[in-house]
Amino acid sequence: MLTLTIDITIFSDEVISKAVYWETNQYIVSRQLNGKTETLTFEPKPQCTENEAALKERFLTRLNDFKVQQIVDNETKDLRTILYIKAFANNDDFEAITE
Amino acid sequence: MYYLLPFRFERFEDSELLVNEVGDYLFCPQGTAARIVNREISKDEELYHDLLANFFISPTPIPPTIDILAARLRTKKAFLDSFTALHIFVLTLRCNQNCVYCQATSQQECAHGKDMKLPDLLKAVELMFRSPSEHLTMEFQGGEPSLVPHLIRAAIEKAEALNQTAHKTLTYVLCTNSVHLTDEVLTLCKQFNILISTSLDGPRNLHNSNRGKIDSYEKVVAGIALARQTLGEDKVSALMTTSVPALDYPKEIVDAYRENGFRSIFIRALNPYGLATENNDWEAYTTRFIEFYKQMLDYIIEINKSGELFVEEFTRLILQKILTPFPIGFVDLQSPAGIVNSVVVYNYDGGVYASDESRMLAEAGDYTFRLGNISDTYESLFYGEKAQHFADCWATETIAGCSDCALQSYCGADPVRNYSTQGSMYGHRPTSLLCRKYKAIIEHILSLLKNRNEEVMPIFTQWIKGRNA
Repeated sequence: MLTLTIDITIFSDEVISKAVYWETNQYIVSRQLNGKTETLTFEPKPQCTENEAALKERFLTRLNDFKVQQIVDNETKDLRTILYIKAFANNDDFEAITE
Repeated sequence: MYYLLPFRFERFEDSELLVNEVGDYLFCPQGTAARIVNREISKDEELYHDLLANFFISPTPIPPTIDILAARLRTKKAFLDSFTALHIFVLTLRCNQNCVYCQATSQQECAHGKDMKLPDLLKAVELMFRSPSEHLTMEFQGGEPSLVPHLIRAAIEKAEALNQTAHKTLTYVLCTNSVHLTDEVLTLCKQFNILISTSLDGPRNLHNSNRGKIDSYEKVVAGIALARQTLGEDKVSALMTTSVPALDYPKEIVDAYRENGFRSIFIRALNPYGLATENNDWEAYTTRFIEFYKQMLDYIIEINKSGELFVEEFTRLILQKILTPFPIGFVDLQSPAGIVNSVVVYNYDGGVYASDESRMLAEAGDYTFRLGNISDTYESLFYGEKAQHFADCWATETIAGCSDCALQSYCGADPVRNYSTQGSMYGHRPTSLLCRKYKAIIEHILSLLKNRNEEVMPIFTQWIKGRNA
């Protein structure tokens, strides 16, 4: 069983949740908030044959990657909305709103 | 200073794969996404200009090219413009074969009460004409639809009559095992320009073993020859289904297709419906299927390198999504999903279902994806509560595991498969074998484009151009 303590001022709940999500095929993951840290406990499911070092390396990589993705998503959220409106809304209506 | 445009990324072999909102991709050194968000890419770098040119970053908060990007996004989703274009008519559940992998729960040829009633059929054709699509495809399925030629004729004559005023482009497809293509059926095909979609499982022994018959191969091959002779070479295509025994014969199956005059093959995995559910280890099957696919594709690439054009159709569909701005008509790889949006099924029992797989579930007593009855109104069927409920989880852009996936643009949502294999329409990507299969196949194709580009690109380009020409 692996236990990791994550600084939640560095990794948001959304980022941790996304990284945990992908581990749920092999692990039962429990989460415990303790102030500015969160403790994650990974209990292997019966079919899991992986060692803890591999899990730790993959999970921390995922955390960092999801954090980068989160920055992209946050910074481009409004632009993505504009893009979808321009692509799919009735153009006349959209032009009328933006004028 | 630059601004970000929406994109997703994943670690890919020794590099990083970046894919933007419209499916353009770049292979970059690992850590590139982090460098981009940290504003570490300098204008002096070639990468800066690649990112700019491929819509990953912008010099201004709103990119000067946003209208181009919006037009491309709209084009990618153009399959939504016309709504349901593929209308499947399950004319009968009766069949004259006993395929071990039958997904449709077909019944004996002599079974009673398994044919569609004529009034239901005619009403279903009327429903089809309510679709706003300018192009309508009527696909006749079964069981074995060639057993009920009078229903095929009635459906087409009704469609032709309605089209006198509707002026739509109609395409007719007969999905048949080709073992009993009578003069009546072939005359019908010739009269109405019906395309034949048949199935060939591979070499004689494998095919006959799959069909539970000792002479199926000879009959199918003879049926294909007769159909080609009567209708023309280009009117007959074939699908293969990868049964468990087939997994050992990737090259032999391709060769059987070539020997029978086919210039393409569609590698199709078993789906967990009907008799196919008796396969008891889907995990192992999926692992073996992915390897089978890679071996078969490698062999097909070698064939093409020798100068013979031979296309793997599933790969071509993925390539079209990766390399062209256009959508594909393949309902399994769409977001929003193909169910209702692109396909609907009118079943022999008078039910209307969200997809072919939906009616297969119904044969097992599960009516979750039954939209209603043929006698219901078009609005209640296509815009009713059920369709709205499916919409909650039919877009890869919004569901967990897909919304962040770098391969999102090349993949599709499948609430029916999620439901049938995982018990919920929403599904759980980490344990989804469909996710694993599609991801492995798409990554394999991207790997070919990355590592063997000079070798495969001329072949892949020819495959795509051949279809778009």
